[in-house]
Order: sequence, then C-alpha cells, then structure tokens
Amino acid sequence: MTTLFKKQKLALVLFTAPLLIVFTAIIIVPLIQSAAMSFTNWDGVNTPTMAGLDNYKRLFASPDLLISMRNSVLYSVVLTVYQLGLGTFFAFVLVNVQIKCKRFFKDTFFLPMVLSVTVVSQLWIAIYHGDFGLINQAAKALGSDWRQYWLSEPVKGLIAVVLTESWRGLGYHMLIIYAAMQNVPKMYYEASTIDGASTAQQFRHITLPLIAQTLKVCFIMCITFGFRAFEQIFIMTSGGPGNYTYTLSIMLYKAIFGLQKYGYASAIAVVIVILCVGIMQLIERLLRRTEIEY
Amino acid sequence: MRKMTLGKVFVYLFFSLYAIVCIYPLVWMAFYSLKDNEEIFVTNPFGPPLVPRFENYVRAVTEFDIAVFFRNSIVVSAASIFFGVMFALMFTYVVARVRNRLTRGLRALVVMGMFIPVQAVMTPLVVMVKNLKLTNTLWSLIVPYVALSFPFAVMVLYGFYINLPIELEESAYLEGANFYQTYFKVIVPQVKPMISVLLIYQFMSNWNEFSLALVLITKNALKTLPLGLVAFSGQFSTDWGPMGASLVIASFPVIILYLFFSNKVSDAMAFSGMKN
Repeated sequence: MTTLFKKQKLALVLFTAPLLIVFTAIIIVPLIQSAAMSFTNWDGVNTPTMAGLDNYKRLFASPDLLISMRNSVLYSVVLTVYQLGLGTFFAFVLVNVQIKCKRFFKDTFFLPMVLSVTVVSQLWIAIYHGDFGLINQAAKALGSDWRQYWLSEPVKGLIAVVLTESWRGLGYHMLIIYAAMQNVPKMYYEASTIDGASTAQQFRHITLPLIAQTLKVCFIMCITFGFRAFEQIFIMTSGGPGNYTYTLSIMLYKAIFGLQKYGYASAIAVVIVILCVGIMQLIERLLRRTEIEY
Repeated sequence: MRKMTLGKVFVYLFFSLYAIVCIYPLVWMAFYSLKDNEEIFVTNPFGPPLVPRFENYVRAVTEFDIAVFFRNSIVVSAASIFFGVMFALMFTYVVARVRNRLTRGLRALVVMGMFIPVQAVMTPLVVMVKNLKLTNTLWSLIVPYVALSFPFAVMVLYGFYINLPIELEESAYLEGANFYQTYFKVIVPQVKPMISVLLIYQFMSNWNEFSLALVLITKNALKTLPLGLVAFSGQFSTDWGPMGASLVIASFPVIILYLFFSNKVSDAMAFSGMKN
C-alpha cells in the first residue's frame, strides 16, 4: 500500500509540515520551556537566573496553595455529582424510557453549553446579584426576606460558581453518555424484559457495565477540570473575597500578570500538569477492573 | 394503568422542571435586555418587557465596542477554523495512508496534546507573543487556536480516513491523476461529513474561548467577544439593559447555529467523548 506513495516524498512532507510546525511551535516548545523556566527566576525582561527549586518551595509554602487544593476538590466533587449523576440519569431516560418530546428535552438540556463562558458567567452574576438578582427577587416575590450575597461570601461564592459551571456543562456529559448508551445492543434489554427485569435492574446490570468506559472518561474530565478551573472563577469572583476562591490556575494568572514572576508561574503550570496527568493515571488504574467487553 | 405510570409522572415533572432551569435564565436575560433599570429592579423583574426598549441594543452597539469585538471574533474564528481544519486534514491523510513507526509516533504525539491543560503552555506563549512583537495582530490568537484544535481533529479524522478504501487512490492514479488532484478531487469530497462536524465543533470552541484570549490580547481593539464582554460588566454594572443586550448579541450566532444544526452539534460533542 505504501508503494502507492513511494514517489511522493515531497508531497508527503508538504502535507505534514504545516501541522507539525505549528504544533511544535505552540505546544511542544512552550511545554519544554515551561518545565525549564520553572527552575529559574525571570521577570520577562532581564536575563533569567537559575533558581533551583526555589519556585517550588515558594509554591508549597504559599498559604494560597491549601485553599486552592480545597477549592479544587470541592469543585471536582460538585461537578462529578451534578454532571455525571444527573447526566447519566437524563441520558438513560432519553434512551430507554418511552416518553414524549425526547428531542426537545435533549436539545434544551444541552442549550447552556453552546453559550460562551463569559455570557454564562455574566448572566449568573446577575442571577446571584445581592439586591436585584433573580434568586433574591424570587424569594422576595414569595414573601420571604431571605437574601444571599452569593458571590461575595467565602464558601457560598465557590459553590455558586461551580453550580454555574455544572449548569453549563451538564449537557455535554449527558450527550457523551447518551451516545454510549445508544451503542448498547437493544436485544439485551428485550431479553431481560422477557425475564421480568425492572428498569432499575436493567440500568444496574446492563447499562452501567457496558458504558463503564465512557463514564470513566467523563469522570476523569470532571475531576481534572476541578484542578484546572479558571474561566468562570476568574470572571465571577476573580479569586475573591480575599483568596477564598483561588485555584492553581488563578494563582498562575496572578503570577504572570500581578507579580511578573514567570519562573514561579511556570512552576505552578508544572504542578497543574502533574496533578491532572497523575489523577488521570490514578483513575485509570483504580477502575481498570471495571472494563467489560461486549 | 400499569405501575410504570408513577415513575413516568416523576420523569415528566423532573424533566420539565430542569428544562425550565435551562431555558428561563436565558429568557430572563432576553427580557431584561429590553427593559430599563426600574422595570428590572422593581416593577417587573420576571415577565416580558412592558415596553420593549430597543435603545438598549442601539446603546450596546454605538456607545461601546461590541461591533469591534464581534468582528474580531469572526476573523479569529474563521481564520483558525480554516487553517486548523485544512492542516489537520492534510496531515492526518498522510498519517493514515502511510503507516510506519514515524507516522504512528507523530499521530500519538499530536493526539496526546488533548490531555495537556492550556495553562501548561500559557506563560511561554505570553513571552513569545511579547518577544515576536505580535501584540498588535490577531495572529497572536489565531495561531494558538489552530494548534489547540489539532488533537481532536486528528483523532476524529484518523478514524475516518482509515476506513476509506485505498482503491480510491489506485483508480485515480491509473487514470493519470497526481497526488494533489487525487487528494482534492477524490479524497476531500469523501471526508465532507466529518469536516462539517469539525467546523461546528471548532467554531463553538473558538467563538467561546476565553483563557488564552485573556492572557494574549491586551489591546482593546483586538479583543474578542468573550474577552470584551468581561470589561463590559464594569462599565454597565449600574445599567443592566445594555449589558443584557450585549450578552444577547454575543450569543446570537451560536444559538442560531444550534437551532438549525442541533443534530450536528450533538454529533460533534459525542465524538469528543471518545477520547480513549
């Protein structure tokens, strides 16, 4: 088969070169630079000086780190429960239960995902607004004087942000799980219905084992997302009040633009990569036994 | 009636409730984009505007740079989709047709990029853009978007190319076509359904991208919509109507796209879940 392209050396190079050049310049080289820069002191202007492990020591001594990790864990847990739990439920009903308006429900649940992070964040800033927000207005309309200043309080602020994130991302996970469920052969359900299995039993013993692989991918996405969460937090609270809604990515941003410490920023980036890849490997290893072949 | 009915009542109730949770905030946003502050805050916070105030939209466009942001978003999205999809199509074609250790390694390398958080390359990119004096052009955003689109595109296209019969090329060559003619006239038409999935997926991610735009673009005249709208909230924080109007304007293209192609969008999303 390769003989067909033997005389086409130049064409083959021409076809692969553009992608390889761009990918090397934007991904590979910066990745190596990040790793190297993390061992230097650099303000982006003067010549960098070697710093050994100073940046990492500084990071691990920082009071922001503990809060960031706590926030990331909270973020991951809420994302997983909301998006994976609710997403699996919605997908299962859409695939396996006879209801009307399936198309409408599926498209509607996905709708928030097509909006940009900025629009969603701004919209929810308005919804959470202490004086005129939708939530507090609704409480007032119902005759209650219950009122929350969601985004300006430590823990509530983070919960408000992660709920917004979940609201936006639910449809994405639902669709991925939905696609996997549609690949489960219908005859399994038919056979088990004849044997008298309930819908709950079918879910537990047919659906769940056969989509385990997909659920694992979604699980990894939810968990690692918590550890690199940035956009919504940045727009909605910018890490505040104080450092209560910090994550590693917010620390990274502040290190670049606030402190001008590129070496320190790179050390944070390295830790983010190690955390994400490490968590991915850990989940892969822990859940390896759940894999089932059709 | 069978026992299932109770379960179904619950399902309908819950589904309808969640549908409202998805839609009403957007409707509320559309409503308040047409109201003045008094109506939003006091007289009519929930319902449709009593007197639609289209001047909010006029203000969003005339007094602020939303038209500039909109144009930048279109330029960035279009250019990065064009180059991203074209380069990925060409690269993956070669990798799928000439399979040896080198091409396998290159493909694995590119697809691995999917697992790298964008934060990992952020700092060097900021430095690079500064040093290459690219701060005055949208290319500083387009080129990174192109690179970031590769892993997903290569993964999806590879699965597709590999199932195309090699006879396509064999017969084209027999008829005297060269490599390029064969590729553009015979192969590309075959990949069309995949291209449309990619176009939609890349458009949605580029149109909405925020993090890289935030660190790479500093000039107001070069900001894309997601970035520009963040600055807006400060300017408009006391004036909700025009703020809502600008959010609606920014969402308009993707919502229209979604209304017409929701199936294609679903396909694109489902593909991205097959990462392993």
